[in-house]
Amino acid sequence: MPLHEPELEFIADMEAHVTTDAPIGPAAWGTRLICPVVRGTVEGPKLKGVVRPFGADWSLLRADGCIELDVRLIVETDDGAPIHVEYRGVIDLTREQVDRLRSGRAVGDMKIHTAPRFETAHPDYAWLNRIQAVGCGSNEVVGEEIKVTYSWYALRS
Amino acid sequence: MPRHEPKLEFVADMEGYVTMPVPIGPAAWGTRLVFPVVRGTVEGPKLKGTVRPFGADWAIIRADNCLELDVRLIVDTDDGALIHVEYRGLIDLTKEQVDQLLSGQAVEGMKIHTAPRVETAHPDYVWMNRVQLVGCGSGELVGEELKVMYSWYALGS
Repeated sequence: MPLHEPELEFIADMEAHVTTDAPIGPAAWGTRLICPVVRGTVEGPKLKGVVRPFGADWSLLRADGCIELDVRLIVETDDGAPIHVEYRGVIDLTREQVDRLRSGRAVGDMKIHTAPRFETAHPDYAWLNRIQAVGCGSNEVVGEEIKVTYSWYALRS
Repeated sequence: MPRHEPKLEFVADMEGYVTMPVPIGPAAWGTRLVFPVVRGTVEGPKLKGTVRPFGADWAIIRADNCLELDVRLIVDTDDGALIHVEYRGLIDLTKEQVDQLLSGQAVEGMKIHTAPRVETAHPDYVWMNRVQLVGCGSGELVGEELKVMYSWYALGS
């Protein structure tokens, strides 16, 4: 025990600016906090491009004070490959952070953990279709926008 | 670069026995291979229990020879907690390996990479609701059954 040791191979850093739409809720699952993507960049040893200005995190603030992420976005590489990126994930908030969010204020310094998957048809990036990735990230409030930064890694063993 | 360094905290090893599937397909998304869970165990520093004998991997073999996992199962801990475990993931296969699998043989050296999420109400295990897990696994044929062996880790940063 453990039977398998994981290795994490760095893919890229992603930086995106998002806005926060008006909260919807509480509803059946919790309060929906939708964060549309304004702009972003991706940079890594084998991947460099921009994040298209649509796509969002259709996130949910759960009753137990976690945020569930539900993100879809498109990365366009500098050499013309569109890459569909999709990830769920979770943010474990402190009591304080939950209270701030529920009172309508923005919260930074979150620890974000995600599990991205990719779809692309470009032959140079087809390797992305065949991996399970993980993402570690955080955020900061920048004026009216929120800047999120992530590092993406391919899960290997 | 990278901006964020991930940490992986070992949670448990999972060992499960599934029956080999009758393939359904090719259909719209690929060939469906459903692997029903027969039995299993989970063991780790903070988690010990058994896997209930329902649940399955509702897997798909894609046109590009990757196997997409889609697993739901229930773990019963030794101290009476019920834990719902759900994960997607990938196995990167060659055409030859896919043909082997579709003809009912297990594939040597399969590397399975997953991203589990957990739901539980038991107070000793609610910490699991708040983490993104990763799983690394492999499989081997044991008689008529496929034995799968995973290590689960909590993703931190």
